[in-house]
Amino acid sequence: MRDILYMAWRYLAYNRIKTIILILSITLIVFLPAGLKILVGQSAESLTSRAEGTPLIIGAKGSPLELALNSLYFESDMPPKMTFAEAQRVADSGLATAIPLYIRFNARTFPIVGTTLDYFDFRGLEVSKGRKMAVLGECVLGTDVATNLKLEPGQHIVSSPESVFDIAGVYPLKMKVVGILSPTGTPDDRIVLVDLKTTWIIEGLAHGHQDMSKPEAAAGVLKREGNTVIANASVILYNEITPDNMDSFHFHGDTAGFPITAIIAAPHDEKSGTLLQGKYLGDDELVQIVKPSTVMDELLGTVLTVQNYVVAAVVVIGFSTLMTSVLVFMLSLRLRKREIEAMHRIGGSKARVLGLLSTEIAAVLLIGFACAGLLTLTASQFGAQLIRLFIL
Amino acid sequence: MIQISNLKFSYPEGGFHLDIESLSVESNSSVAVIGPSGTGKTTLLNLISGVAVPDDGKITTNGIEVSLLDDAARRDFRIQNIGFIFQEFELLEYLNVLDNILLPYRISGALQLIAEVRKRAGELAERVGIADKLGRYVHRLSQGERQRVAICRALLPDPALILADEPTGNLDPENTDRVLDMVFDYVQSNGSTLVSVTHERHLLDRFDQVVDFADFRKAVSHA
Repeated sequence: MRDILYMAWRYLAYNRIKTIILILSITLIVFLPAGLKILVGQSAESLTSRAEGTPLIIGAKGSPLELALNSLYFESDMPPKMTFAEAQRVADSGLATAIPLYIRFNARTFPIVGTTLDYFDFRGLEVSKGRKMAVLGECVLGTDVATNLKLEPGQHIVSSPESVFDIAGVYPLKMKVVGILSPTGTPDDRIVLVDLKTTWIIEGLAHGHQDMSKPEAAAGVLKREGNTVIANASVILYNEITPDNMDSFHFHGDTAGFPITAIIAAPHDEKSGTLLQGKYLGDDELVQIVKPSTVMDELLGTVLTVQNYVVAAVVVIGFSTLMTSVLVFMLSLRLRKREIEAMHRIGGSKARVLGLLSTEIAAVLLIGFACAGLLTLTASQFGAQLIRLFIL
Repeated sequence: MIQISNLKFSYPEGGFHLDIESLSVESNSSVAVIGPSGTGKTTLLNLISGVAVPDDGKITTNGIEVSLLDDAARRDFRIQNIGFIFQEFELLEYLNVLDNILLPYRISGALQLIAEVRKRAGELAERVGIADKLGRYVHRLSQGERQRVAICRALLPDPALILADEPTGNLDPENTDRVLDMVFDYVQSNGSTLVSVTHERHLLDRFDQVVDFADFRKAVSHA
């Protein structure tokens, strides 16, 4: 047997390109359907687990999928805005805890999520370093954000302008990092958490500037009419909230009319949830209430249908690849006819000659299956991370 | 050594018939088999070695009627008693020179590949002048060197009978002489028998006996 293994190895090593191609073919034939199934399964689990942990989402009327994806995974385009009054409406109903979300801005490609401290409890988020945000301009980073940007509590992160060429757009706000979240393995690892009001400051709905009553600001004053001061562009606007200038920050208008993108509604019980959903059934309602698990199930239904088509295609391709591999083996045997005949004439045992040929084929199959197994194992071990990295 | 009597053989597909009434080859002798293509010279080698089985008649090689053995026993008999040398060398391109020489020991359980055999393989390679090429793949050798590898492979099991099928057909005159010298040296020093098919009539003087297939049936002359 040792001689057969040795000769088979020599043959495979000598014809290494053919061997590698055959092994790759076998590996792909076995791995693709299995790996696809695992990855889709893990994607589905990843999608549904977060959706199932979020009872209800309220948002402006539009695509329920867009609303769910934006609110749960901070992906997809920003859904239509609604007013903060809707959050107050949910809270006032006494049926659920309302957690408003405003997800519009980014800091170095990571989404800035404006919310309340209830979000920490609702998602079970814990701060591993530092503390939660307490005042305007403070932020808590998801673990991936902190790792990628090498930020620690005490350092700063600046919100990104929405457009380089939009000079009338939002000003970047320099935010102080006060805490880092413990890893969760969810999209919360890749967000910058701030108070809802901080996002309104980024939007320009609130701002802080030089005290116009101070003599050093007098040069910028154009006109005073009672309590109203009209100033020119020389007045200094603050792009960082510090203990010194915090008092100068103020909102223009009623916060009830300020924008949010979604409300996570956590009903106190099942009945409250049903009642709350009933409140949004009217045709004249400008907002919608969606059950994320239902939305994601519909999405997964589509994904699984696509997956079935893909698997079917992979099986067909796999079959033709297998047939091609068989053809390669057959042609190889034909090319080696003289070699086999010479071994026969010399007196080589039939069992050994057959053993040699079958060992070569078995080795290719075995290595192919082993590689596929290894890849499948890797997919099952690290699939969730890959999904988080590339999909969610 | 070889006794043939009333041998009849034809291939199943027809069109060829070999009929040898009587042929005898002594031990420690060399026989050249000559004749036009398609007259059965290679078939005779196959019948002697048991690769083919006669339809009728009797062939004894080394006192054994090979055709009476089953396939596995015939293979064992060949590998233990007969060394084959082919015109096209029939070396395995994926093995190096040493592994090609050791091939009979790797493809049959009838021979044991022990350290002694490896040592002898090295000595044979030394004797034919390819000792420095043992680690090379055979496609990197010249024609003459390849045939020398094939000769080492044939001689390694120390066969009593060497069957050569146009062993110098692909060689230049210099290599032809060299290869034949090696084979004849071995035959003489080991008391073996050589049966060689050849088309090169100028080499016939070197053989003890010539079997001419020109009349297709039998024509035996003694040199």
